[in-house]
Amino acid sequence: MLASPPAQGVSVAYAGSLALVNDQLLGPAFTRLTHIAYSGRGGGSIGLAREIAQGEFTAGAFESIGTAPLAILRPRFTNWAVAVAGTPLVIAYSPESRYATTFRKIAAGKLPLADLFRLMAKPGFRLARTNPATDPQGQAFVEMVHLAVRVLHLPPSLPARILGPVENPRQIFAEESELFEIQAGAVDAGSAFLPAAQERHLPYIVLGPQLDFADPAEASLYGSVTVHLANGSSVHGTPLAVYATVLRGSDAVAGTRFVTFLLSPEGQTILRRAGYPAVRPTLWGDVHAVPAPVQAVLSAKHHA
Amino acid sequence: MPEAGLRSGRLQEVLRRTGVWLALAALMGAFILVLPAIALLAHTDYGHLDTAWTAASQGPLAVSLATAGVALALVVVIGTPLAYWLGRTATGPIRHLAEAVLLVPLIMPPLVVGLVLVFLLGPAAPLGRLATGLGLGAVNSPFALTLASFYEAAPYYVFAAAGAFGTVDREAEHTAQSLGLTPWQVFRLVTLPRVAPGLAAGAAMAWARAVGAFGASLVVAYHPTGLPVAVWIALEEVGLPAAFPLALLLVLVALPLPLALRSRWSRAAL
Repeated sequence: MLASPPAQGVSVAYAGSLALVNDQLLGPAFTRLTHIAYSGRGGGSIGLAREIAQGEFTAGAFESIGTAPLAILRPRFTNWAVAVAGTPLVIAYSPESRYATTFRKIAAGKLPLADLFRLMAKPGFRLARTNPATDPQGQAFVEMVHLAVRVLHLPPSLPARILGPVENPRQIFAEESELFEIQAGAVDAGSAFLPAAQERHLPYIVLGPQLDFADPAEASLYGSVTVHLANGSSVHGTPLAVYATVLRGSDAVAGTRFVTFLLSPEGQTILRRAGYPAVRPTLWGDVHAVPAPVQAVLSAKHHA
Repeated sequence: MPEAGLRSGRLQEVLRRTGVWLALAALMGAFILVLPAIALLAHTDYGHLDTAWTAASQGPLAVSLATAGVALALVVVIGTPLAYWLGRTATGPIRHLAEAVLLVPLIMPPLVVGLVLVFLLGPAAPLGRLATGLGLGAVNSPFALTLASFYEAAPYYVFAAAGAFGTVDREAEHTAQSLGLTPWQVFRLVTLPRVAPGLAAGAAMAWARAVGAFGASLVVAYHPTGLPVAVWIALEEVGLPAAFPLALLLVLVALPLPLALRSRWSRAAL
């Protein structure tokens, strides 16, 4: 049997919201442990997947939020992925908003979560979210508002009053700057992933497992809502875990080392400390396509 | 005489050789500068041209032309007196300080210009309150996009125009004044024709910057979507086949104005 060639470096493509945890924490720790140099590239995970699929750049490993971006890479670049952490959706708010007092009471549980949705439906409420056509978080936010009607027994007209059109030009901001709009007080509140809100020291309201799209156990509930995009396509709700995969190509050896690191106790501790709760390492796609070193880590976890 | 003839012959030979080398260097420079355009043309999927251009003409094209046009008008109206003062009146440390301050928006990465503008346009800031009060909207509004283009473009015009004002021959102006012309007449009839090529070059650069403004626009105005942000969204949503035709359209619609300005004022300068 031929030995694997030594890995010189690993290039990791990741969803933009994972920038800090990858570049500041996971990357340096991976290099310390393996002596393999790390380089990262972030962006909207659907956009990144399209760029990889079109051969604009290559990477050894890919981390996406949810599985929709992975479907773009299938089957040429990968056929599988594994959930390495959860990314709960929260509502981040501006402490300078005129509704800050109400937000604080809802966050502290002194007012019911339903009040948040009634507040967001008020005329003049300034809401920020990301583009559902390019970003899984943008899709999940729309799905979450629709799901809230059912879970919190709210009036069916509420989603239309909160969101307006799915791709509402008044509410949609670039993924790269949406949280900054909240931070700068340009909007009252907006969609955020829990770790990103924590990283930026933004106050936030927790939505709970039924609405935060981070609990794989609620997959069927999330899947019961669908977003219809302006381009004619429809997207069904899926758990928004961080999924990692190895991309076929010359960087695959180092990519495999990186994904096994994410699943290792060291990688999981870093993720948990950065606000990404642990999830069962659920596999997506073709189980037989998973590289042997990753399989080994998964079966060790299974037997633990 | 034969020696003088020999010297003249050598000079001509040197000039001829220099001319050849200069032409080669210029050709090389032009080739290097035109490489991105060649790559754009080579990699554009012409099958997507129709779809992309139809999509662009429904919004981003008009948004880009309108906001960049207004931004350029503001740059010229606000920037010309400033450039005149900078090129003609300001001296010593005040001039250096003014130049340093004006360089700031040029040096700041456009993304940072956008981030700063979000603070300026926020509901707590006077400009944000004024804009909202006037119904112009704050972030995600045509006003925000115009402002982003303005800040990205203004320094290019101001520095080019200040340079032009600084090189005007004062003798001609004094002579005109001594002939009884009012200061406004001197400016209009003597100064302006001399600085026009410089102002046109500055306006051409400012237009190119305004119409192609991306970093600041992405932050303050994802909507209304101008062409540069539309290229980005197309890249994220569909990929290169949709993005490059839009980029090509952006280049094609942005080119005529600087070309016209160059052509009109270069001839006027001759």
